[in-house]
Amino acid sequence: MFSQSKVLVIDDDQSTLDILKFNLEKMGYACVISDKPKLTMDLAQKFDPDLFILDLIMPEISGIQLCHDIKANPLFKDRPVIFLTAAEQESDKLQAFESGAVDYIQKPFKVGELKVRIKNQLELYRNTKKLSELCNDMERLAEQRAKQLFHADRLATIGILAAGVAHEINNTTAFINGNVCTFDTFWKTIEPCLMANAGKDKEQDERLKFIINETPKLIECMKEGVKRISRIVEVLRAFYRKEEVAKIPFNLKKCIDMSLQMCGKMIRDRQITVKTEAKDTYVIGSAQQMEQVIVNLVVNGIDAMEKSQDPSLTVKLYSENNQAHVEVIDTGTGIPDDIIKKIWDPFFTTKETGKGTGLGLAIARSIVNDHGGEITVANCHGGGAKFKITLSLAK
Amino acid sequence: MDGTEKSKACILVVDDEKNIQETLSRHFRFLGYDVDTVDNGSLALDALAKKRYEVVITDISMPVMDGIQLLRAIRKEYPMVHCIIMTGYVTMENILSCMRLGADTCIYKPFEDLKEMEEAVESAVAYIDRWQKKLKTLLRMKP
Repeated sequence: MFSQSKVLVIDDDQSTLDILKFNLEKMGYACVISDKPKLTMDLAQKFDPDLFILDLIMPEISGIQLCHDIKANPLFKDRPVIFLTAAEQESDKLQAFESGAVDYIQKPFKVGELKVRIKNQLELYRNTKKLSELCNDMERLAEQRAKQLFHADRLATIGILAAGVAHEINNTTAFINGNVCTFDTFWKTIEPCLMANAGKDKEQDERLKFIINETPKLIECMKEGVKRISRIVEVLRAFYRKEEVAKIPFNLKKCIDMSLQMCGKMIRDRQITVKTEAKDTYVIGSAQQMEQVIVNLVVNGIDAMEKSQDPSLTVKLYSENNQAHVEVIDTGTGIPDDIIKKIWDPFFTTKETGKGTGLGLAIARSIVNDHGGEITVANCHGGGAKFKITLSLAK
Repeated sequence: MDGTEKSKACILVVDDEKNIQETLSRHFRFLGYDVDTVDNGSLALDALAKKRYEVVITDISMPVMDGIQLLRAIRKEYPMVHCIIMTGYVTMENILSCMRLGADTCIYKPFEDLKEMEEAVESAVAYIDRWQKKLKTLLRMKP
């Protein structure tokens, strides 16, 4: 069913307007007429016409000028414009087409021809509109799909890369760390000997003291660096350790309880109010992996509320449309718009250097996707962020 | 040789990474062990045929012959040699193989520190020492 097409007619001659209105309404169109060209854009805003019919020559503003105005307005630039013209000059007609009109009707007009021309243009416009909508839909779908594929592809690449990198880095780090440890052992022998040689040169003694003071710190610093590298590699393992996802039904409620228990110390230390709304809900997969995901969301939520006055974390579990939904909602600062798209990227982190690896959410998403589910994020009204996991219910 | 003299225990380090060989060799030589190094499992078997080692420390992924194959060969031919496995590529399959083939332990690279490795070597050497003492006591006993 088409909705009624709307036509706006602008002409300084009232009798032309009356004839057009009569005929257009007879054809089933809604019609607004005006003999004041200056009001064209205001009327267009109010009436939202599908087609414009403009007189080419009018005292105040010419039809050509009006047509330029219409075409310059993003709302109406696609709407067809037909000119009514008494002019017979070829140049006038060309000028009319150049301004963006699709057709012209010679005055004095014959009603039959007028009807056909208007009907054709409206149909053309309607079809073009439908086509462009379809085209937009397709483009949107394609873009969405491309994004998903890009993400999946990137995760797969990271998995392969991670395996190689982990092996190489582990080996390299192993001998750096091994040598640091050996040096630490050496140092215990060197240190007492150093001061035994002191007393000959004051400057030299100062330097020796400095070395004796600083060397243990230097060793610690190197160990700390190695520890950080090891941790990143450890987390990367989650990507390549793709042992088949278990296909066992498990209770998501238990998963949530376990996850909150694991974060218990953190929750108590930071005095966070935790609210849970959960009923026994069964899904299929690996309870352990899903726990990892929920712990990750809970820890992120808690970290986001570091500066909150009244930190509170809500975990909801409910089923709807054959799907289980888990929501983790914090009352923190929320996620700024410019980074909300990046949070799933591996190595993206807002935490202090050394505190986060930037892999938590990337892995969480990878796990949820492996379970055939989805994980999304949105900011809540009044602050805070809401992470939502959707999984199919076990049958 | 009398029972109180403490001989140096011999360690064979097997890794295709020269830097790891050197690191471990240096560390354990400093601690008073006798250490040799080789590049892969096959060369390790050659070395074992020529000299007695108390402990073999081996990587898993190596060219020619990997650590698991080496472990299997040692179990068969040198049952008294203790094996400590180290790996930078930890998989369930590898760990289970190490366990089933009777490795002393499996240490993940990068080493947290070398303490774990030291302790594993010490306990392996202590185990061998204990049996040697028993054997020596038996030899001194009059029937």
